[in-house]
Amino acid sequence: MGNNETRIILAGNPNVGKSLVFNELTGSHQKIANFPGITVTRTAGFYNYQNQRYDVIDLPGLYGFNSGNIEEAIAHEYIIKHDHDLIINVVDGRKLERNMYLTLQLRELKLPMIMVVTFRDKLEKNRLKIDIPLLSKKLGIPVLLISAFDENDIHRLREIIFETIDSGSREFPQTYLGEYEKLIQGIAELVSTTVLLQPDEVLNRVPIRWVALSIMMSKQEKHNLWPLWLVDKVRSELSQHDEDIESLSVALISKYYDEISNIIEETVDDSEYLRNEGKWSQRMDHLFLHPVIGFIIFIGIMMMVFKLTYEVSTPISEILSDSAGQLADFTRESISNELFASFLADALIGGVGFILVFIPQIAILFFFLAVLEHSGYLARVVFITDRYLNKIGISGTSIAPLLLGFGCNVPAIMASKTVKDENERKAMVLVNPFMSCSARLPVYIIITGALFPDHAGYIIGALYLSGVVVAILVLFILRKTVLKGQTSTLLMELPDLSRPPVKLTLSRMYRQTKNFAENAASWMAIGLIIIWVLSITGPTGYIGPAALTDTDLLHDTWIFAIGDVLHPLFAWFGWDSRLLVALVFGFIAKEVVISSFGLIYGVKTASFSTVILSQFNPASGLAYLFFVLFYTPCIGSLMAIKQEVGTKYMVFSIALGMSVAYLTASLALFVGRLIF
Amino acid sequence: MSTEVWSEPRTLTKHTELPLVLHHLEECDGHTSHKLIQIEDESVRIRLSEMGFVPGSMIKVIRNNRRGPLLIETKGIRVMICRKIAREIMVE
Repeated sequence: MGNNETRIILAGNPNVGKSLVFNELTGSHQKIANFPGITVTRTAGFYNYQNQRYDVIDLPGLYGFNSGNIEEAIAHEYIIKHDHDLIINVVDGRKLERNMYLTLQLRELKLPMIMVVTFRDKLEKNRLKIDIPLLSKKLGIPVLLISAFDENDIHRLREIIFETIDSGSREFPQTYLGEYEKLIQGIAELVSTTVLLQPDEVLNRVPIRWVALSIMMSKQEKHNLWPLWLVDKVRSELSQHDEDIESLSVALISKYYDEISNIIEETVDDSEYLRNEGKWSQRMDHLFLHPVIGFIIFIGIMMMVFKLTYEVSTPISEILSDSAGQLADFTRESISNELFASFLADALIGGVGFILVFIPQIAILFFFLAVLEHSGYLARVVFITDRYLNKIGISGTSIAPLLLGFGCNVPAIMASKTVKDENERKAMVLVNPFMSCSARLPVYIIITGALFPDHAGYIIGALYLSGVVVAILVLFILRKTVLKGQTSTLLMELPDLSRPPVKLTLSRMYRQTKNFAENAASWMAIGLIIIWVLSITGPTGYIGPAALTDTDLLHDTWIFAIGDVLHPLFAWFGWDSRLLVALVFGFIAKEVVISSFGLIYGVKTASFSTVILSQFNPASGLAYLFFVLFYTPCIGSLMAIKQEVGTKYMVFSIALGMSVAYLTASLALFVGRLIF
Repeated sequence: MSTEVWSEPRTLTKHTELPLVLHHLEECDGHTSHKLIQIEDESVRIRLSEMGFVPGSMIKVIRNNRRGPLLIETKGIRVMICRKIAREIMVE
């Protein structure tokens, strides 16, 4: 046991209430981190108990360790390469049979371990009886039945964690794998003698039997898990025994399940089990999974999400916007040094305060995305869209990264890591920036609010929809031409629909929003400081903050100089040089497009509409909106694209974005002129 | 555990007694139950086994409308699989 902190890992199948347990255990002390080099997120948190700090790592949802699935590989690597004091295995009491496969696997690690059976309330209500003491005896580990919503249960869990680590017991019964035991022992002996010759740090941390089973049960290349020479040795030994890894693996898994059946038979009494929970969900699924009705519901729900996001957040944003404007005015008046006052009021408060105004929108959008995910609805979307997405050469599972793109493209691009086919993954990464991220929303809201006050909602809806349509078209073309390949297969659990836990949803929303705000604020601060410097200086030298309010002076600044260079290229859209400069800076982060307006045009947030009305007619404004939607991904997204699929595709994505933007903006200009 | 791969002749005889009729899961109607014999698709065999789809277990087909993915159930858990995987799951 560590002297300073105790390290706990939380493992369980997907959809068993693991995040809920994690959330209750660690409270607000948590942060999301990526596994090094890989972007499946893990959440780390801690809590204090009896003057001792407990660090908890929430592993991704797992079924086992040997399928070669990326989450399983990452979790496996994390487990064997770090020291742990305790494993908490979270299981859903209603799905004990399937959940316990992971339990028996984890037990082979011979680490202090606790099994936590969740959803106590639901088990009681549905009269499913589990003999907890007997189950604990059979498994040889403490078993605790809890409801994550009950504070006493969480307290009891902390107690048991303390006791289990304190007793430090590592003696567990071993799963008896029948006729394979002899073979396993043989392999284990081979491993241990080989290891004696060539010591390896990883091999000292885990039991030899674990290493043997792991190599015997997985066909995946294990370069990163076990030394290659060891894998080769075991495999050649197995082939001498005429054992094929795949069949051996399935046979061993079956043995584990045999053992589980025996345990379940004695410990679970389902004679009075009502199964009421699932019934409601199954009835809803007649609609949600229906190929036509389900699809209509999906479109309806997405439209509702965007409508509500816009409507709920607007009044809050207006209040914030007024306050930011007042604070900027106050700063300008109360600081005598003109340059410093301008820096604070125009660049910092004007810009960073600006982010604040859009936090409500972004938070609400994240809230809805979290609800869709935690309620289990997102899995339904995968089911109904798979069929259609297959037609454009991608799998239903790809819908999740696409929807995630509405929040922020950066994590969405990284989430495409789970797509197996390389070309499919590249195509998914390239189109993700077309999913209109929340940073673009402020731009739409301000411009449409000024130009089309009565139809703002529809125009914004049309923008989002165009993003989706273009993404689909581009995907289709890419998959039929340069990025051909097999469509990935779909294999995914369908969890029951449930009411998303309020606390969990809110805490997810809070962390994502905070993450966004921190990122956006730093990019915006950098962007706005550059813009501010370029607006008070020019090819002739220093001009001073007066340029921000004096139109004549402004013409001498770098802002105009840069804009003038670009102007001929965009002449027919009728955009002012300064609008082009805003686009250039939007490259830093798309929300900078609109926040730089404030700076470049020297206005407070409150009077944006006046500026916009003076700069655009409806047609040129519409064109500008489409341009903002599609043109180059922001720096953050480009970095993510580079990391995921390489520099070549990063350059390609800029070119792709620019061409689509120019094309759609021209089209919007044309259509706009016809209508308005 | 048998490791033969069943392909074309769908009717095999086991223990020379009852004829054993094998189907691809893809062809099974909704609301029917079948015994899992073998998963032929190597890329998902271990994953499906870990998820409880081991040979001999009963699979309930919840939804199969001949287009789009299937919804199947074992051990009280529902899983969606695409037709390509369903084509390679042999059931009795």
